[in-house]
Amino acid sequence: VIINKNDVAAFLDGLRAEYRVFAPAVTDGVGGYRILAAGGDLAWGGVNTSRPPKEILFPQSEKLYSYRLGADGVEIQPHYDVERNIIFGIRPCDAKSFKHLDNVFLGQEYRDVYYQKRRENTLLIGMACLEPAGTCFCTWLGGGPFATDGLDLLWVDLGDRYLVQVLTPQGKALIEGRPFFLPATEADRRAASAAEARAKDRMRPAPDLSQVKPWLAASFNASFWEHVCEKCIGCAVCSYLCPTCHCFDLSDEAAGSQALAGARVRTWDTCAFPLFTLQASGYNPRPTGKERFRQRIMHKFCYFAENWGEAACVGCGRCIINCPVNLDIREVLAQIAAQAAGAGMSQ
Amino acid sequence: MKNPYLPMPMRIDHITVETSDGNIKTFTLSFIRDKDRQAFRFIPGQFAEVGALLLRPWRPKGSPSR
Repeated sequence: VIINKNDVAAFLDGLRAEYRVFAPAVTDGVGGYRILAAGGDLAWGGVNTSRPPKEILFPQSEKLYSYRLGADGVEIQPHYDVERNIIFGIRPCDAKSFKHLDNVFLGQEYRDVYYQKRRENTLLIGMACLEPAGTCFCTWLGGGPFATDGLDLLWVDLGDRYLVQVLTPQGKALIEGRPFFLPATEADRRAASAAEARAKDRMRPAPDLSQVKPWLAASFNASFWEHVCEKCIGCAVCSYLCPTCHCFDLSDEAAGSQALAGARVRTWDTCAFPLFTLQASGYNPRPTGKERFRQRIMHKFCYFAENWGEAACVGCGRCIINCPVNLDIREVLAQIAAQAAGAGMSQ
Repeated sequence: MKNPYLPMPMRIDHITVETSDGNIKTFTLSFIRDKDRQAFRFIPGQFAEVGALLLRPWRPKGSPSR
């Protein structure tokens, strides 16, 4: 089906009656996903947002529960977010990142109920990337500018209208019974196919990354790590803005001056910081940038791939765009592929 | 839905001062809720987070059945 651009605001307004609708927006000069207000401006189109949508499912900081020492002992009050969400305009790479986060938070014996409640209540309306940025490399990691993995609907911009691809029963239910959707023509479908071909043509060709994981698995002590991290200043913008990075810390915050009341708070943390692994004894198993950078690469492209079958990277390019010293993860991957080839590990 | 983040409240039954400088102590704890006591299992070397309100973490030692 298709929807005319003039009808999109009314369609979203209708959704707002039933859902909390997140959409791309620019706040204080930074692009991210914000709750859409009535008649709110959308900042879709162009390149992807600086902040990934992972904070909708896994906020940068959240209260897990409050506690208070009462007359009957400790009272614990968990805080769950059970609102129904729609993320409108999410890019295929970010939708794929949720599948990686699902593995971490839901894929094992203990499920993260905070993430689970948000995830189960969130639908994804994707926006195909007509003009991937020069830093985009989703096709290296099995994705693509029109990929549908994880989405409920995929919209393709055709100028004055969007072609809407229905991908799940939940996505179908979102548009059913709403008056804005019209049958697509063969010309619409041909235009979308042409746009997809143009978008794919813009992507930088992928090098052979098949030997990255085996090389990493055998190269924990390689001299490669001494040099590859030299310009990293450990600012951690790469992991904070990464849609798949998911490490966090837990801390207790007192409620005002009440010593025996407070909240357990979860906050994003990152392997790029020395304090991440500093132990109470003073020992730090990752004392320098070398060990910390190695951990970042190893976790994404070796350990995660070993555990879940895919690297924890979707090629969104945020770490490349925002790195203050231009440390390009594509170059690191290419160097690793070259190391593997030099070690006789090429296919 | 089970929430693994929720703590199990405990009572400090006894504090034993182990050294003459008073810096090392053994805390003997018991579960306040019977269901927590029955559900809690650990094996030697396992790490658990034991926190006084606003303080953490300690490593438990000793059999949970004692």
